[in-house]
Amino acid sequence: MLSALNPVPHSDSLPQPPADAASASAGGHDGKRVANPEVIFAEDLCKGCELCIFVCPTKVLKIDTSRVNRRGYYPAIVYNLAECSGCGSCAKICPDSVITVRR
Amino acid sequence: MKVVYEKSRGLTDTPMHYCPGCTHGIIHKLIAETLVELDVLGRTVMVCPVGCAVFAYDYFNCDSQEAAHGRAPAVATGIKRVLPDNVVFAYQGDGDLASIGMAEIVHAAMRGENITVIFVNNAIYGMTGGQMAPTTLLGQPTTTSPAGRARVGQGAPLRVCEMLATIDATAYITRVSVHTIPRLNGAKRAIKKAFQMQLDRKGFALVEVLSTCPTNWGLTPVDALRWVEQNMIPVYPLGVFKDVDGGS
Amino acid sequence: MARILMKGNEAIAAAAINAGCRHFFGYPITPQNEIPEYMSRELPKIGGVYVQAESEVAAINMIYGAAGAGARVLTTSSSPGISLMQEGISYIAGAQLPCVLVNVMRGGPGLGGIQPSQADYFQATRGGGHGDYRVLVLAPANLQEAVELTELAFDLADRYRNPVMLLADAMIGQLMEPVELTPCTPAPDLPPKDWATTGTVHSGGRRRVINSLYLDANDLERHVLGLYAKYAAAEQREVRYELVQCDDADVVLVAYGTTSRIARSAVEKCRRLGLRVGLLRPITLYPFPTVAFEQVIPRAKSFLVVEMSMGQMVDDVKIAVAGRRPIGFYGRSGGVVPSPGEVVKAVQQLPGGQVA
Repeated sequence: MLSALNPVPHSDSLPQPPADAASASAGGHDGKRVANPEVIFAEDLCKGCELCIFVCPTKVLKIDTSRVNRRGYYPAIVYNLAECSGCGSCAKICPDSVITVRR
Repeated sequence: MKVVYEKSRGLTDTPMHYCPGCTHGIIHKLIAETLVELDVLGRTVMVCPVGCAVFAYDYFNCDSQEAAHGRAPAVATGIKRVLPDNVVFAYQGDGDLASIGMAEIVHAAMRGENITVIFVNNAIYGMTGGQMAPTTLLGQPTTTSPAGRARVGQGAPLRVCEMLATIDATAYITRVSVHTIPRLNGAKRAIKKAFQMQLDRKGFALVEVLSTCPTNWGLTPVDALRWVEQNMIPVYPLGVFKDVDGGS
Repeated sequence: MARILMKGNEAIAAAAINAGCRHFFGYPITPQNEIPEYMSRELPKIGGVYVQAESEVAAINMIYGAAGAGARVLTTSSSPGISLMQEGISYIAGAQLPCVLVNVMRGGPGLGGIQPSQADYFQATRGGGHGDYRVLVLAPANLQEAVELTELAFDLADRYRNPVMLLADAMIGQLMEPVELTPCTPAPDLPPKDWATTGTVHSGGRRRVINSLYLDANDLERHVLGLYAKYAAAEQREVRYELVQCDDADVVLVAYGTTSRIARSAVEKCRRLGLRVGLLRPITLYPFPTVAFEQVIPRAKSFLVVEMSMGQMVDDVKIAVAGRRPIGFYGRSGGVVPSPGEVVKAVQQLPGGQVA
């Protein structure tokens, strides 16, 4: 539909969103992994838009296609919490405030 | 455990009706967080537009008034002139602000009304099903420019920030986006500054937020973010166009 | 308080201030410019706010916002500008906000003229904008009445949470008469404005929303039925009219505003000619004084409706008379003001050429 303009690349040719320095608040993202961040999804609010997956710097999120939530969407989930830095980027970009992050 | 991010209490519990990945939800959050952080939620009055965000009065935890299409700056003027110590903001899309409401936004800026306006620019009319907007890009197909917007007959996109920045009584005019986390953080800083301008009674402040409409652009939400970078930013450069505090 | 010689437009403005209006949003248009000019001079002196909007469209929307914030607000215009305000008036009625509007009518349609007219009667009394709603309409015939009806308008607006319009014309706006402005306070039994958007700090955290959108048809119907319950109450309680020499009248003139003054003179002229003529003068145009016709019909033989239009109120007279008596009509348009002599001639022609 928008092919007349600059085509949207389907690769990651958009610069990788850098790890969020601004969420460095008290914890700081200085490369050290923080133990056991908590990433909680209010799953029934999720619309499967994948923005959280797009901005996650450590790629620990994915769409769970094994089930649908009460709204009929495939919800996003953390599938690899061990690699999660607790940066909160996913929660920040989620338009529906689905995600709570603690660390 | 320290909270890194949680839902703002500036928002209600009502689930938002916006399409998946629509940036309205993100912008709503940035405003809600700002109102809480500035501790003004209890004296805020929001003016809602006609457009996808017509139901914004269900999502924000403050008093609000639904305005007729395009008239939010006039409604906000009426409220602010009666309640000068309240925080009054208008939230408008590109049809509301740049088409039917062009006179109202220009004159609210001209009068230097001490209000804050958040302008959500997604280059299309979302709620009504994808018609051309004043901010639609050249060549962009919409339901009322099926061959792509043509300069001859349909004109070229309107740069609202650049126009409004020429008005003397404006205090802060800036264009931001929310398509990456750093840009989102920058948008939040701009929104906070725009509300601070009102608190400091410095005049009229407007933040234009480049936004997506995945449904009517025919793109996935993530591709829509990329489209902002590839196509909107070259036409609508980000930056500060007016700042009475001298910032840039 | 002393009687002052004032121009109609200024008397209306002074009356609004007297009634507690401290916020005016408007736009210049002939023949009512003295109102915004007066407001721009006087309101700042008393801590009030005058805003000259960029158009009547903007003005009515500022009224919406300010009314929603709880203030007593006024806007004024003339026919073409009132047309521009119709969408906003519909929104104000739908959102149940109080406001006072003044239409100083001029000749139309279109850009028309700047002379007096009554051709906005339909627009004023039939809602004017889209949707199911009404506006309470008050029609003064002299400046003292204009003052009193302006003050009443603010109370009615607050009581019924609805727009109230003072329907005047260029003659009333421009002529000068002595008026007395007695100190005026809002009626003591008006409901509190606990719906005003003043911030959740004032409402214990409960959000207040001013809105007229109801996407569910049953919800919207319920809402409209609520509006019409208010109008039914107004029809019971707020009708105002004047009867002049109707007790023995064969012909009853029906006229309002400036035309009623001409009709009053015509009544005197007719009486001197031995004709038994009276005048039924509506003061509220909505609610229409149907009850006045019930009083007059037993004795009257016919009615003559006189308007500065091609005939608009005459329709409401036909409804009220319900075919029981012949109804004649005499009108002038374009801004022409009829003379008493013309009205007398029209009375004399009645037995032959009735419009019923």
